Amino acid sequence: MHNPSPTRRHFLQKAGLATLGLAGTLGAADSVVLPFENGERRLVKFPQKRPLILLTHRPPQLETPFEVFKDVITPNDAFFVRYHLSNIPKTVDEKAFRLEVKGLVNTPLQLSLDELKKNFEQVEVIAVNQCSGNSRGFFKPRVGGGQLGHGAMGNAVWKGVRLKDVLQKAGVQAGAKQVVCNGMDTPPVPQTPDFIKALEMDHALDGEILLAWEMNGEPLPLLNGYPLRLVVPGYYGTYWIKHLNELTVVKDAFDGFFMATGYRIPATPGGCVEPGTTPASTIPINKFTIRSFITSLADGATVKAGQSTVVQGIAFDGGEGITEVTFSDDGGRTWRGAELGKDHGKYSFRPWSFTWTPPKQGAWELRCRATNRVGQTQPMEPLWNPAGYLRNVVETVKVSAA
Amino acid sequence: MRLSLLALPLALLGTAFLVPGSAAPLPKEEDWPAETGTYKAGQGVELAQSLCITCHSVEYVASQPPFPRKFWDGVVKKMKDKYGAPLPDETTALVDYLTTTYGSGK
Repeated sequence: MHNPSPTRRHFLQKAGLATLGLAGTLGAADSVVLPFENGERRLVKFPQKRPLILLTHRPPQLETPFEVFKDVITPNDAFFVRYHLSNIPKTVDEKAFRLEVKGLVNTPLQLSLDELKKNFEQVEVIAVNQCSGNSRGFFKPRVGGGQLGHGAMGNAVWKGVRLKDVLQKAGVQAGAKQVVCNGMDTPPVPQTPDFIKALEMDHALDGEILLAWEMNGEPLPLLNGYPLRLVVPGYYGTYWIKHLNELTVVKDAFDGFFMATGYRIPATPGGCVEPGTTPASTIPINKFTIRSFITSLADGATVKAGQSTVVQGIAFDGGEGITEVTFSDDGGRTWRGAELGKDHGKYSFRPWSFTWTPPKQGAWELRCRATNRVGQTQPMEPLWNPAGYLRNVVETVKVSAA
Repeated sequence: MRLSLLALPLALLGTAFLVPGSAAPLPKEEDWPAETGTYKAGQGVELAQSLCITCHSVEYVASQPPFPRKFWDGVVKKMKDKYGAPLPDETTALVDYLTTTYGSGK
């Protein structure tokens, strides 16, 4: 058993106070400190959520406390929340809800949730959703944007129907290039561009993308896109449109702000540039970079010298599938193979473990490094880009053996 | 699966606690937490309070590391030009406030 981090101790104390009725507003008084400059954050309870790390209140951006990732599946009430525009649907009439399919199709459709459930094959996938800017707060030099720790990710069982099946029912016409995806959230002022994303037609028709209404066996929480959202396995969360109600098939590349200007990465190998510089050209962000984390030990934990500890963690990538995780206790000088846990599918967190015995007392720098089926692995030094996307450096957890 | 850290206290408090398989009720108006963050005092704070607050809460500003004036100038331009924020033509005083209060001061 590991020692809780200072942050978690604080959290437990506050939760304990709450049970005694001493903390009048659970969440309002709690806080955590993310390990970078200006990393103090409040824990705030939003509807259908436990108290989560508040990045921004309006629109809501909530980060998952890292200890939640000890479980391979992220509970709905702990799953991160990320909106762009402050007019979010605070309530939705499920009976009146329709998904509109239009544009370059033979038969435009208006589908109720019931029709989606009854008229198409229902499928499930376990898939990681991760914000493009997850871990942005660790960038050096720092970059502007949501200053997130590692908690803007989560892994869930998603249930829905294939985007491909719905598009084929409508009948995609020749010359279709993209499907433009829009949800019910809207900008606070009319001049602000709506949050709309586009998927290339071959991606939209590859059978991997779902229109999902269920998450971990329950209807989607409102803040995760109720009643329907896109699930785009292996791709960054920016494509996972929430409150999805409009699909438009188009013949020219969609040039809205959040495709043409926002969410772009350098068109370089690894999507990186020299720190502090501007890329010559950019492309839309797409698949996850490969990552891994130690989840059973937090920075500052204490273990017993000479006794074995099972170090546990998770790894994931853009859908190639994790084939190897290695573990180091000496800051990356030497590596040993970790044991991979149950395979929940190529889009899921892959659990791993390593039975580690610190040979002597002192400070230890623990690291893990994942490799996937096509040989991609994590860099030892961080890569940099001006938007703070794609972080996947080998992370370090410092512990002491006593 | 391990019981969540908060499951017990929340259940004791009688707060909504999601049992797997049961549908969570849709939130009611009173379930939303109040927006409590405010801009720090400083010369020009009334500009941030009247302009920035239209589209987003204060943490968008307050959670940034102490960036230089060039960054805050860029942010204000971006809000105006890319996001269509209804800002006045003259924004020097707003950039001054952001740089002094939340930035590196220079």
